[in-house]
Amino acid sequence: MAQTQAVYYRETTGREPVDAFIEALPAKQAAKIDFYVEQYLNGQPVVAPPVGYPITSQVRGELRELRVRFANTYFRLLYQRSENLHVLLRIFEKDTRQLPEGEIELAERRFADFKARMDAERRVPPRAAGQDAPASRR
Amino acid sequence: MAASHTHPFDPAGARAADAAASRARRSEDYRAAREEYAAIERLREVNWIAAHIRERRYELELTQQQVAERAGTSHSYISKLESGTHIPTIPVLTRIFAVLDERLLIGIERDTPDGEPEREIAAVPALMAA
Repeated sequence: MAQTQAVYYRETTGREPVDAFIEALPAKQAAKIDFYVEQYLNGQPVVAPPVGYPITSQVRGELRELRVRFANTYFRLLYQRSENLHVLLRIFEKDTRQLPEGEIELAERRFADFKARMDAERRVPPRAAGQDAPASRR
Repeated sequence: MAASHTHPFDPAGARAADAAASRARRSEDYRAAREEYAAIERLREVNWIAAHIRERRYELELTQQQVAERAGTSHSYISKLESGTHIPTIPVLTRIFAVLDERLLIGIERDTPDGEPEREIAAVPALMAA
């Protein structure tokens, strides 16, 4: 059965902002976030519904958040599904009651960029030739 | 690794699992933390309270001895509690959660004619927490 896979959103410069954020954290905090990503966003059946609250919740449209608490620090990782991929778009420490609008908009812009570049990079399959060619072309 | 994950301008970047494996190779502290969270998750399946206390204490960087002293109990009590082999009393549990900067609440649930269970949740009465 097909399973989901968590991947970082990559900017055109090659930078992966979510990975850069996690990489800069103390080891224990990074380990907990990575553990949550692997536990709840990786290896889920593609047809299964999202893991529910309080682990994840809907933010807006198809944008969702993974909620990770470490001691008294609250991390929010914004992500969105694209086919079998969970694209990790934005992560930050939450210190306000509501998710800041700017964080949501940044994640939405990144996902729109992700889709646009993925669609632009789709390859046309090579034309069948030789014995694989359609009968009318032989 | 698939070609689509190696092109520098591909919007689908590294797999999170690969990045985590890289961090594990580079940091002993990270490896130890991953093992601790895996152990906590296994414990959670059989004893949610024990797993929660172990996780919270670990993240607040308190030793079992420190929690025991501040909660007025023994090191072995906390150790047995976290291993999931000991059932705590409400007064001790109340004090442990206070040390962990949390509050123990008590919830009850009852069936109703419409099939939706009714729930009530409240603070532990002072008399029971003493």
